[in-house]
Amino acid sequence: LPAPAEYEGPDGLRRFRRDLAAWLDERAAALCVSAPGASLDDEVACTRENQRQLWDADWLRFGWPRSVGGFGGPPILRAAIAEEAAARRLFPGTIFAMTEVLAPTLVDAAPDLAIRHLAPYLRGEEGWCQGFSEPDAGSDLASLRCRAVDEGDHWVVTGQKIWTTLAQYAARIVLLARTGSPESRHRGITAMLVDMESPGVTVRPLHAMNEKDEFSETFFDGVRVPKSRLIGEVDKGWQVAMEMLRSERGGIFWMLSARLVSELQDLVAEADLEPADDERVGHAFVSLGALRARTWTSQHRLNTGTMSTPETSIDKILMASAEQELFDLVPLVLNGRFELDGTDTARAWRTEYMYSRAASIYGGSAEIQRNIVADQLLGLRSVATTGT
Amino acid sequence: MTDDALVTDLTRTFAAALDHEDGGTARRELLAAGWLDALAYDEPVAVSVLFRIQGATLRDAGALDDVIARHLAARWQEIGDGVAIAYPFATPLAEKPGATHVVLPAHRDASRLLWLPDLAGDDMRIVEVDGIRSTHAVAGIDPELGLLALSAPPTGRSTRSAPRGAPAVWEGALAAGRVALAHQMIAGAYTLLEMATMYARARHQFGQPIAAFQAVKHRLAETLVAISSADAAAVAAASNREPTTAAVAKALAGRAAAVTARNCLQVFGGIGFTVEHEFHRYFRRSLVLDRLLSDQRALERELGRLLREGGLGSERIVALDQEPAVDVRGSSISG
Repeated sequence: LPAPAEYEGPDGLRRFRRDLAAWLDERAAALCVSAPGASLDDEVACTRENQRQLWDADWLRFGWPRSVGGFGGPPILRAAIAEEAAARRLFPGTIFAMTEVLAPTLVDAAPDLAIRHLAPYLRGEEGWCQGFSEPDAGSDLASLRCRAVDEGDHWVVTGQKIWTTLAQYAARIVLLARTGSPESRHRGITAMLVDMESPGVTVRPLHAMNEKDEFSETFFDGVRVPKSRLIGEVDKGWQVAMEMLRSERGGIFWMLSARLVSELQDLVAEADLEPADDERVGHAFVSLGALRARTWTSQHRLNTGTMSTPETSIDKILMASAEQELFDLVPLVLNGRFELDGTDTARAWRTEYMYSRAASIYGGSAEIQRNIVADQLLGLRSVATTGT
Repeated sequence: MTDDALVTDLTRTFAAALDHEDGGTARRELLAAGWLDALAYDEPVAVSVLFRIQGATLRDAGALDDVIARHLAARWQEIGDGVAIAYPFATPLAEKPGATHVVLPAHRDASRLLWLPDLAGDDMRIVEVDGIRSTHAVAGIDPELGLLALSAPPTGRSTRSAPRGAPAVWEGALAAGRVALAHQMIAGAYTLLEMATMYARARHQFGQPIAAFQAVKHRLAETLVAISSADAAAVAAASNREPTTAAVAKALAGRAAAVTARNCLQVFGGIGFTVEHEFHRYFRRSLVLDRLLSDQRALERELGRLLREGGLGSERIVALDQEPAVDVRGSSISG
């Protein structure tokens, strides 16, 4: 089993990645690889089984603080695990990536909760989901209305969330609720970790055009949440949300970009490409190269704490455009098989293709990201507008 | 991580050396300032510092030749310092022969010229010459750069072919040259974006700065995204020295230059169309730099061909444990 001391000092990351890759290759037969066209149930089960094996072999403890059951070490070790596993199709989709969105902020902002719940989450014993968006609070997240009423030692939560990824598989939800006045915007929001089994929580999966019910509506009807479930401070949930968005728009793309590169390689192997396709395929490869290079620098900068949240919007824009460009190729090079075939492979391409259409919407739309880049990175927020 | 003091020191000395309108003078100053020593000591940092100054100031000291020659020298010792390079540039029509190769004008006094028939690394040869004066500077699209054009290898005093081992180091030399050009193009693009962002804050229409309009903001944001990704790829290629990464970096620099030119001219509006404005100088230079050592589309076609033929089956462009050999610039500009 790997020991933390082996990977300290210079060159530690390279040795870690080498040993991890060797372990994954050696254990390949025992690990779960989702077949093309697998159902979401299968993908979740497979991901969790692989998490269990990686945790039990101690790999998944690296990069998490000792105080919450980890081995310590720099967070970039976690990116190495996610990438190597994703490249071997052990972590399909974004199921595992959600750990990287939700857990680091919990460790920082609610260490007591992390001590209790992080290990079961990483080991795949339970799932978590993210309760941010609402029907009337999408791009304008600060207008959210799901209400948490202070009842002394607990809150009573009432309202509705939407686009809660994998809510039907989740034991816990990181919830943003309004604790201030309705007009308090980002100043009156509190983050809390809520048990999905609590009385009053209802999940209704949305049937999406990619044939996978990954997103849900989640309803809260007088749900009791103990104050001990607070993440961060009361009315300071916006900061918690921004920390999570930094991960959602930055930290996870190293892993997801590895998956996209594999997808392009699969597509190229499967399609009957002609020289006339070279320019288009090469263009998509270079766009993936932009994403890989950018997320590589981001990993190194996040690891040293020198990357601001607004900068991750650049990664998000690159991810959405590279993903859509890659899947734009699929119908072109599969010449009718994409639209017609009933095979699992064709079904898998259709699912991925359809999913990629949403890449410029979820996690903050392409327009919101461009506003952030202009306002905060180009310094144009302060430019006066007279309004219309 | 890189040595901050080295970067600061090189930035100061190289900027001073390049502060001469005449490329030949800039070149002499640059050599006197220890450019070749810096290149030998820390290539990623020396190249990134110098070529970014060249990109931002539009000066050119012919340093691309030095970067390529240094890599070839590993297997071709007689190449030595100070060889000028004739780069393949244009494919003339059969019925109307014309210039095919260009030499950077700062190197017009060179006594040796490396002739590159094409970018495959075959049939490279060195010709002894008395400067490249026999050829006139071409105006072309970038008269300020004043490339020297050639239509055939000059007939010099003697010609020597590359030794057997040279093609083996050509791929690395080409990659290093592409990284250098990527840095130069990226710096030019950053300069235009800074100018366009300042202009958008200062220029008022409908009673407000045009930077308040979302249509303008999004053009500028897209420009920063394109430049930042090219920047990251140039750093990745400078760090891992892989030919594939270098090809990706040069292609992205070409894309970034094109996106920057299109969006920034649109933000400048009419004034940007006049030669009173600096826009056209940067635009012209980017068009020439994109063409040197393969343009964006040729690089993409080549990568597409490699993929189609199964040559990039496990390529991941850059490894997580690759440490950046050049400091990564934060993605913000002071507008």
